[in-house]
Amino acid sequence: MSGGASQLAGTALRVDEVTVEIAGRRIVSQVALTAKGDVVGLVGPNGSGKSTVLRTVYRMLRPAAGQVLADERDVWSLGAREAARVTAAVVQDGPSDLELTVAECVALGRVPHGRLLAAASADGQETVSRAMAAAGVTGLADRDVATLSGGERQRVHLARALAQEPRILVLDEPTNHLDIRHQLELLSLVRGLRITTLVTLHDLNLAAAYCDRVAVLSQGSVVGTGTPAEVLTPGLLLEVFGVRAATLANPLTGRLQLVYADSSQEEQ
Amino acid sequence: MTVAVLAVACAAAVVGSVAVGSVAIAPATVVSVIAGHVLPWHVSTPATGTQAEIVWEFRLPRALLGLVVGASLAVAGAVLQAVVRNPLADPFIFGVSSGASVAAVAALTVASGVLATVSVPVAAFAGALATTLVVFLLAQRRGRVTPGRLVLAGVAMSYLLSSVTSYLVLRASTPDGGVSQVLSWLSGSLAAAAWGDLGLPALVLVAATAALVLLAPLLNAFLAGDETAASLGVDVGRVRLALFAVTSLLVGVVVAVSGAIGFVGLVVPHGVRMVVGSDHRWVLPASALAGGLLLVVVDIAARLILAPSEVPVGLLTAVVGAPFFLWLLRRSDRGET
Repeated sequence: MSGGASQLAGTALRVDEVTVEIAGRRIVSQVALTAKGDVVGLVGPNGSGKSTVLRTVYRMLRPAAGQVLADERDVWSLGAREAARVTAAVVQDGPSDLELTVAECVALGRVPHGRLLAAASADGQETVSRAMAAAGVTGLADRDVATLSGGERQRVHLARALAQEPRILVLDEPTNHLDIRHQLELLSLVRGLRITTLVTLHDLNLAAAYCDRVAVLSQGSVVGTGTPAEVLTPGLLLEVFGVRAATLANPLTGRLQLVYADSSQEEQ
Repeated sequence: MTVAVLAVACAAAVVGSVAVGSVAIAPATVVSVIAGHVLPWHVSTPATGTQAEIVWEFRLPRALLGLVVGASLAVAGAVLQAVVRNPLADPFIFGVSSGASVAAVAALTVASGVLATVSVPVAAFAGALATTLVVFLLAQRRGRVTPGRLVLAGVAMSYLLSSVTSYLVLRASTPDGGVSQVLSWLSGSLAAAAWGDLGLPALVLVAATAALVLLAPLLNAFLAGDETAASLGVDVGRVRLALFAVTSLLVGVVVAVSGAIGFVGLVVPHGVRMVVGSDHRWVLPASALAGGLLLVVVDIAARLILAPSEVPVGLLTAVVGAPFFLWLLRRSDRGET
């Protein structure tokens, strides 16, 4: 798996020395990342700048310096709609009291494709149906999004992102508030899509299990990139997260598994 | 389907509104008089000359103005609720009406200087636009406007401007100060409607609603939240500013001719969403028709309840709207628990 990224098919996402400043304060400093047809995890402590990096990718936040390139084209020099036809994002907007039905929400994925008076072309309808089927939300079509459970809502937004027919998928903490089964199901669904994916995750074991590569952010800078086994080492975890860690092989999958202890916990 | 039913109901309500009054005129007579004016060929009518004049010169402009004002307020409310993702938003929460009121009251009570030369509608319109601009600037921090700050800035401005209005009214409480004129303007009324008042508001309503229906997918995207809307290729900041400008234009031109009529912009979009769902391609046209229908019907009631005198229509919309608003609050509470 290591070093194979460049041979994979898919659209290349390159975050090139991106710096973000908000109100004169530097939040993210010269972050460089690449993804091409694989799933890249962005991990790091709270406040390390993970979501900020993603926001430059889906055009919520313009970098102060550096570029975000999709197939070597700067997403900030593309039109907003054109960029949204390449990159789709599942983000953390809170729910509101004014909600769409599931079908209406998934159909939003067609907004960047449609002419403005989107009299929902048959083609678009077809894409929406396929996206709903892929995310397993077809049965929820007429429900209000506000009435869904957290897991259902995440899958609805994944379906909405898929309806955009993106070549790059960006996910901000998609497993937040989900129970363990839904966490695993969602990430395995994302992996199965086989499109270039950049995902922030809190849970390092999920990152190890589902990401081809991970990048570790600490205080706005990348401090390590590579396969999970190369990067998520006890030394780095102690330095970045301040926890003692040991690595094991997951007895069920054989993949990297981390176990932790805080510095006050003595060995029995 | 809903839209067609509403359109028919609107037409019926307009005819009904013209038929009702101190001199009752049969609906068929009303229709024949209107047809005689609108159709290019001769239509025979049983109406006397006086009846024909009452229908065409007084009651029809009033009914049509009610239609246009109600529709404009409802469309503005539907748009604002979507852009700030807040079901309690309406044109009046953002200070638009209080801005219009201050300027209109100043024009009515201050009899010197520039203000004495400005007509009430012009002052009200300028006040509405200026207030919207100030609210938007107040809500902005580092180039970004968030829904929460917009609502707070709007509410704060409303209070501030209401107190200025009260001061102007108190100051004018001298003989011949025009206080009853001020109060009737503040309560909202369609009584002074004339054909000349209709043109601009009708033009703005049709143009704005057509443009907004074309932009409906963007409004739908706003419902999903700012971050999601941005990821869908919506330039959130610019589109929000543009939508705000359109709604303040809609509200400004109708407040200028009808005074401050509340609650239509709040309650109509909610009622409409319960029937047609949240897709703005349907919410906007249905809101326009339902808002017009509501105001025409309430105006009929305003003329009948204390006949031969009139209740200001703005007071009646509040009487109808406030209980609905409270019911809405209770309903959304239940959703949270």
